[in-house]
Amino acid sequence: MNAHAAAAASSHTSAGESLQLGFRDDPGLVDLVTHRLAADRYELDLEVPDMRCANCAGRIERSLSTLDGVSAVRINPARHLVVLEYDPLRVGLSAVLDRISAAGYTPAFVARSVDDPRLVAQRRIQLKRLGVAGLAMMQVMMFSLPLYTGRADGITPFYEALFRWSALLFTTPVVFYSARPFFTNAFTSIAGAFTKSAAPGFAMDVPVALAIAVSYAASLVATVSGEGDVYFDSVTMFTFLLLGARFLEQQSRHRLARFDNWLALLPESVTRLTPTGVEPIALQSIVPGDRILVSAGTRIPIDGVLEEGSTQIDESTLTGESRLVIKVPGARVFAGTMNVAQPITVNADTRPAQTRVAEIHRLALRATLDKPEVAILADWIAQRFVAAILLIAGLSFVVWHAIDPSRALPTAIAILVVSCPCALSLATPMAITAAAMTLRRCGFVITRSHVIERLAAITHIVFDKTGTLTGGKAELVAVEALSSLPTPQCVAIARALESRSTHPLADALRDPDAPAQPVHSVRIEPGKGIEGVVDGVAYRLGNAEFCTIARPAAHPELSTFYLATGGSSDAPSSMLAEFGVRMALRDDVPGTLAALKRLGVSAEILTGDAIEPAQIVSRQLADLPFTARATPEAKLAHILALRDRGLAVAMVGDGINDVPGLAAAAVSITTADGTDLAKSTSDALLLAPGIGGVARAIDVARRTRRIIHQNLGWAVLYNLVAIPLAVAGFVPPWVAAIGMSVSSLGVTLNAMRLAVPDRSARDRIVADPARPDLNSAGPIGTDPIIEGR
Amino acid sequence: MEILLLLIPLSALVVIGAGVMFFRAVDSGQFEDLERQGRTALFDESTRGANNGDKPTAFNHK
Repeated sequence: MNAHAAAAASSHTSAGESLQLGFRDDPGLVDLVTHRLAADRYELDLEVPDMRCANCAGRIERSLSTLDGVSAVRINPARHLVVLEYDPLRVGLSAVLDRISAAGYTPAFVARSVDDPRLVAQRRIQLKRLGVAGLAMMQVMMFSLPLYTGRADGITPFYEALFRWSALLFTTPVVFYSARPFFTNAFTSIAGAFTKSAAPGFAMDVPVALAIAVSYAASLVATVSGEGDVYFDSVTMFTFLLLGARFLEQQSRHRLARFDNWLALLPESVTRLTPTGVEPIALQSIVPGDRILVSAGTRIPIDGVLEEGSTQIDESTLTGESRLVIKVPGARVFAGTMNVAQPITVNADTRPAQTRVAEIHRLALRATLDKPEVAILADWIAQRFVAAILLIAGLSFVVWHAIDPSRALPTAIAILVVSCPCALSLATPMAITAAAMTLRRCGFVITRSHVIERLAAITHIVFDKTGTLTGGKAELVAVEALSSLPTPQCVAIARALESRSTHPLADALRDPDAPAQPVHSVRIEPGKGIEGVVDGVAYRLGNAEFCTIARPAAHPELSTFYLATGGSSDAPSSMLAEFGVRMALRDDVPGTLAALKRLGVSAEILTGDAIEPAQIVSRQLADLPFTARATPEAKLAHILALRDRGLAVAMVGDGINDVPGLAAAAVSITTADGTDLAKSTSDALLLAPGIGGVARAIDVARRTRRIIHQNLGWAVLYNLVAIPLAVAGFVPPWVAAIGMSVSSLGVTLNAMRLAVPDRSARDRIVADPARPDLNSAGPIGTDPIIEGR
Repeated sequence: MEILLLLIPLSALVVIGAGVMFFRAVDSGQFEDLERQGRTALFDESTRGANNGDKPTAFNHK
């Protein structure tokens, strides 16, 4: 099988279809749908569209975790996603899919887009079921009204029978067509509970299906025999409202997914330049070295270097930055960004699965799949809830049958209908998902689910200076030769050494017109310096301590570092030159610090740099407290000390020499430029240049926490009030139908408030005179950023 | 009241007709995207129009 076919299999084929085509254990497919974590650990994303509740999720989780070779299973019921870590040598892809099918669900590889034919078909059939239920409901209401009024005013038996039979006629398609998903789900769940001991527990649809079946059957008997009550109005209304609520919930989920799934933005097929002309190939078959033609107005499909053509690129999907970036040949372009102006040729330097956008997507997906503690509790309650409801309904029926047989059935039906575990189990995942999407749009990517809960509680933020508060581009302002070696040579040696470093100071030395000399035996000591051998001579480049230099800096107002001879082993070293580097503050730093202050969050600088430059930055920022000359170990100690003082600390750094400190902070946030995303262990990434996302994230996190509490509170309160009322017989079945729909829809809509761009909050946080573009209407025409040589 | 014997079957026919029309509308994709039509008026067609799901149309470049 070729790569093209595998690409087709991964994008649009459900696992069932791929089985027929014999694709399932094909190595090419495994490569496309999984992500390698280690030699014996691969990550696989699966979508299970018919997994609708916490109970289904639990069943799938249990059936997979018993599979030999599966090391971890994470499930997000709100987004129908299953992510598992497994060892492909011990268990095949097909065994995993079979397990899910055996549990009664339909696994599929993660859908690429909302235009996926599978999703379109699903949406259409849901809409039809809803439409049938709605039309029939209106008719049945019409026939039910004379039945209710007739009871008071008198109605002849002939017309009563006529209305009942008419209502039966219209209710039948609702039960057998519209309500079918409830019956299938309930049946699978019951069958699973009895046949497989591994997956106990009833799904949410069991009480729903029971309520519909019992009321329809009772009404049917009453209609045929002419004795007893009919509940046709309740059956149709319940079905319609529940289908409507689920449809809306699913639509909002798709709306979120549209923002979320950047991979879906990529074109399915791309144009590759060949020596003889052009050829269309599948996106997945791009290999490094391919030259890809990207026309104006389309998305760039792959990470690579701009080879031909100068253009403007809208990178807002990646960074949240709305200004267009001008790119000229030599600049790096990223998959998922929009080529706005001119057709260009891109020389691919990654595989489609390793692009920046794919890495970010993977990290972000991880966050929505880890369960926050509050959601675990809600799931636990929901699972026991269904069993309790069945029990309560049964008991009520028996008790009411003894008191007043005519009220036993309506009461039992009302209890089944009114109880709503969906509100309970949706409350947290919906809010977290919506919040993560909102943050993503402003360039703040969450990679762990606990981040939102913890961010909301943050009281203190520690900022790294270099690369975080100060801009990525450093400027070499002064070079002092300290020996007979002339300045240009010193610069050339330093450039060679720094060519191996990603420290922002290295940028100051980088010069595209003067390629760096080869360097070997490089050793980097984080926070101190770098050493290596250039042209047969060992050099070290770093701070005064690293170069064992004790002389006052010639430019104390600058960030100084020294070049000296001698590696770690051979002493003594002799000084060659002193470099003075200046770093401009990032534009949004003052605005963000002010916003943090308004949020009641204190901040400080913690840097490995010398005291003087830290002092200058601090002075510019209204005497922000700072600690300079901190080694990675000292940073860790500092964060631990803050934690001991009872502060909830977040640390913002560039993720390179801050790793221990970042690990100790309650929330670690890294600036994404220059960091190897695949190795990122931080809790969140700032994709946009600057730190504006931090203040916004804390604001959103606090709103999310409020909404989760509201949702859980509402779900618990609703059930505490509604169920006793229903047991007491105060709730007719049709009122119960409205009550449960409103409760679960309310939870979803409340969570969706987080996904709506909040204009006032945005202006409050980022309004910044230095960045008028953030508040302007559109990206076109505002001053662009220029990249490339 | 005998008129009901005619009106009820008649209303049934009307509802079935409405149902058939609704099914056709769904199948023709009328309800797929309820937002785009409203948005197109707000954006300049030439630069930002075809953002989603765009396929490369550049086979004639070169």
